[in-house]
Amino acid sequence: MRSWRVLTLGVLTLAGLLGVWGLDAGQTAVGQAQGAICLYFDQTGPGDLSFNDMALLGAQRASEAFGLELRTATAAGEASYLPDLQTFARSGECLVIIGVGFLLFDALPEAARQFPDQKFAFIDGPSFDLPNLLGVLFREQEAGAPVGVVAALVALANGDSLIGAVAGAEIPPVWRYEAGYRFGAHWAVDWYNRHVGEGASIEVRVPYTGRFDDPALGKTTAEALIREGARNLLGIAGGTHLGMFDAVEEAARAEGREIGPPFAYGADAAQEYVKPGFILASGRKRVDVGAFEAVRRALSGEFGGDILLGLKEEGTGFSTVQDVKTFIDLAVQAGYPLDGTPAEVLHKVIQARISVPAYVWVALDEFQSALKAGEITLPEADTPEQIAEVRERYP
Amino acid sequence: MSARLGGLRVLLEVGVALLLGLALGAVLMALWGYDPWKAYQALFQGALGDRFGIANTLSRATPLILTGLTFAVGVRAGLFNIGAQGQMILGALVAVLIGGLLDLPPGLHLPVTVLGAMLAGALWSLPAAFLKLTRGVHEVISTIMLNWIAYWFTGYVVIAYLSQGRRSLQVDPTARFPLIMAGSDLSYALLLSVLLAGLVYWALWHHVAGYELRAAGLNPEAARYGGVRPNRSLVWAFLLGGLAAGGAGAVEVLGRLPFAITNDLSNLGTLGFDGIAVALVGRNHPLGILLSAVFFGALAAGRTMMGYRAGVPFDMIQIVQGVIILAIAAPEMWRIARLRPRRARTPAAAGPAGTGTEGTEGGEGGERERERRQA
Amino acid sequence: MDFAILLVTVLPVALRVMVPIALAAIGEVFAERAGVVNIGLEGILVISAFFAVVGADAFGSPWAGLVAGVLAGLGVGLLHALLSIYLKGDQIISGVGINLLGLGLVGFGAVVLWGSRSFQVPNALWVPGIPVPWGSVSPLVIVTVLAAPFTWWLLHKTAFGLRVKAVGENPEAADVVGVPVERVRLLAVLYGAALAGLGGAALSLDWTHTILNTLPAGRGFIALAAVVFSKLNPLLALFGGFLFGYFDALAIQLASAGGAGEEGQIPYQFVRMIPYLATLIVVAGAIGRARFPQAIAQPYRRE
Repeated sequence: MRSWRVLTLGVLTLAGLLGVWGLDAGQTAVGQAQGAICLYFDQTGPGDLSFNDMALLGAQRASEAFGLELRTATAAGEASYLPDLQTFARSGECLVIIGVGFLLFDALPEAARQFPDQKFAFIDGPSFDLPNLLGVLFREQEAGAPVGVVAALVALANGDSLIGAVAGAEIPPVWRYEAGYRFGAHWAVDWYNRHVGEGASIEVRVPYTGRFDDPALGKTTAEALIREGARNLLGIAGGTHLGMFDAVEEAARAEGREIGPPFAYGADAAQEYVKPGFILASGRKRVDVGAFEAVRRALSGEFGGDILLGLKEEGTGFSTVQDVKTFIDLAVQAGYPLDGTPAEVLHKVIQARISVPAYVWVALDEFQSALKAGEITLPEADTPEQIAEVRERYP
Repeated sequence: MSARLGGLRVLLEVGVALLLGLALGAVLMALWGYDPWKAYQALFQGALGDRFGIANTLSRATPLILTGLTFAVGVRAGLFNIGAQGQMILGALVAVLIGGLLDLPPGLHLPVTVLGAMLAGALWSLPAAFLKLTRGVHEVISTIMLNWIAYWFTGYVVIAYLSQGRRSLQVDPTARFPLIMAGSDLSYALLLSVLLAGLVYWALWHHVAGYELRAAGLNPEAARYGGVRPNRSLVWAFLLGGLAAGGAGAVEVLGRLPFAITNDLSNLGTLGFDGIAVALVGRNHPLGILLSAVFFGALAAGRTMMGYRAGVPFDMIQIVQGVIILAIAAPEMWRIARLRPRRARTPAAAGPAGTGTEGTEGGEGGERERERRQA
Repeated sequence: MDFAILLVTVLPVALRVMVPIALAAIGEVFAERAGVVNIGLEGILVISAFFAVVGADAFGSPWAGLVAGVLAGLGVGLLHALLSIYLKGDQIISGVGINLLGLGLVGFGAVVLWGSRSFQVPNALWVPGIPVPWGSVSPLVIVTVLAAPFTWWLLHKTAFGLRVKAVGENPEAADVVGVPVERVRLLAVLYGAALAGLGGAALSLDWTHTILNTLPAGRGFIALAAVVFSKLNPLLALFGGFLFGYFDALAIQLASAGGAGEEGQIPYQFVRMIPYLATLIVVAGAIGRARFPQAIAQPYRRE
């Protein structure tokens, strides 16, 4: 077994040598005047044309506006969260370390506790009452609820009594979307019964796939929902619900339609451009606003606490035509091949919106103003008990 | 003699392959306009540049050692046991249950939790052993299926009974591994991994049952003829592997944040599958696995820094790592110049020796002889 | 929905789920007969799914995409063959490397080409279905169903098949009688990789019309299970792929029939276990012991 000893010795020597070399690199890199914006993604990183790219966009805007260097990194698995954050903090190079993504829920506060002089921001999570951690929270309910209103009314107009959603894993941001969606749908039924017809009812079905990365699973799940009679489907499953988009387009085309029904609804980004005509609308989450705001506050000195971005702050909500345009531009910039010219895509998105009864948009307006005015309170869904209650109240 | 030569040869081969892999990765990065020098510097700095980097590397290696052992013990017994993933998941579940729900005095809580998790892993390896022995079901099928069953089952328990928002309840501080180094997440879990690697080494090379296990793995028929009961060895291999995999689950839950299981089990990752590569690069030898796990740990630890300091995108890093592993797969890559080797038999490469996975097995020929005499 | 009707309605879905799994499994059966294991099926699936989309996009035709997918599969197969056959490398490590490479390559390539990690294939590039009385059937389902008997025929009724089995069982003896061991193994690996490549192309161009670096999501590993399930019989590999597809489709339909967490509902996690439990039960009850070629996973060295 002496060979193994030799082997170990060799490897350790090599490691030592390389270590010295690497240490050298670390030291030469230090020395920023004001510090950089350090953007840390919990998984996959930029390129999703959605949540992560929005955060990057906000940080880029801040970088230009305030003349700061921007650095990004993506975690290699959850085990690297805390060590990575510690390394960033230790380097002293970051004005603010912005953690992007709910999964940093435990690591960010821990790092903030260990490095009280370093500013941290948490996109999609709270501040935990730490003075050096800024929480940027979104009220996903207020993005899910308007979609629920529209989905339910479009369903009723088409004679359906079932709407659905393809959900990812069971985590609070997804629960909040679901809670809003369910609430919105039931509010819409009441509205419909008051203004349009009588005795209408809607059932909301939200199967969880447990995954955010499996489009085939999303497609099979959506097909199952469509077979059950749900022809308005919200996607709250990241990459998984791309398969749902496809199932909806396929079902519509099988009936010879270039524009739904069935209709899909996107989440986080205005995803209409992905399948114009078949994606009617999206629940929006302005992650860019959050990222920009985190940098602004880090510079201004007032830091800590929570920013809650909801419908009123235009942090979450129903995708407007302007949102759709923004994302078409974003896609064009990134080089995403649209199905047609930007104008054609936008035209088809608007066509789809015109194709549903006009009262749908009247109801949506009414709902959103009531929500902004505080006349409607959406249910909370941060724990399994809360979402279970929501499911029971708004089946 | 051959054992020593074998070890040196392995070092040389892996070393050259690694350099080749790094060079290929550098070419790829340069082709797309990234600075490979800066990238690798960042990688090494992140992984080994200071004591924090080294701590991070060792911390990432900790569970990989254990799941690597699971696969390696299987191979030694002639099994292709890829059930570490499911066994690891159930180990983690039991670690959360005992560590989070049971009130035990400090000093006792941690060992009991670890033991419980390891037993859970061992228990989940039994269906595969049972199905193989009674119904002849190949372990590749049974373990893949059992992995998924463990995944969905644990997902259900976590969400239905243990969830506090995004994750299960956390284990009590008394059940957590204490840190070796403050400011890092390197905990004494490393000790558990190294001890288990030592235990496996002792069991396999210095104990009759281990000798029988390896004999059964090399040639069950001959072993049976020689008085070995292959079935018993097979069960031992599954159990030992399950213990290690369950330990990996414990290490992940009791050794670092979030000290819990997330709702979608994402913090457990694919540790079980990663162990396969760790074991194979370590030539299915416990000591080799220690080194190989440190290597993979260093890749994981230094990876983020490649993005942070050199701006290399996440996916490019994955490509470079894939290339490195591919280069390691073919340790004789440097023979690429002469694809048809017509070399004479050399002692080091004689017999079944030097053939891929079995690289060290041949080298152990002399050693086996020695042990037989001991036995 | 009535349960009996349900059992029939999920059939077309099951066929779609079957295609990539069965194609990869049938191909792998052939390669393993020659003694070469490739656990990089997951990687082949995703790489070929990606290049299928690239090809379809570049030539404006789904058929070109399918060809590109097969070519990409061949490329990865060639890499695997080079490492494991000619360089005597470890087949399993090579497979692990291919899987990792696939994740990175497709993630990176998609961003380079389309500015996004995911891309949805426009309708014009979908593989058109063949109309049948109850809707339409994908031509790839038919290809898959035909690939199994063809592979069986190739393996058992041709001289090439005989050589494949010979180099898998006893490469030394095959070498002695003049069979070019390495070349036969190379061809077997390429055949397997080409089928897996077609499976990957089916996954992106025919089934999901989407590309994402996690698109196979474990189906390559299920294909490996199907290979073992088949006892290296291509016909059984097809059956294994179908069986899994059927139970998978059934489970998803059942899980979607009720909402999450509703009263009296079986938790969806248990429903999702169905395909795995069913496979285990079928294998334990009916399939039994698998036998592999003597020289499997071992590089051949001419002494």
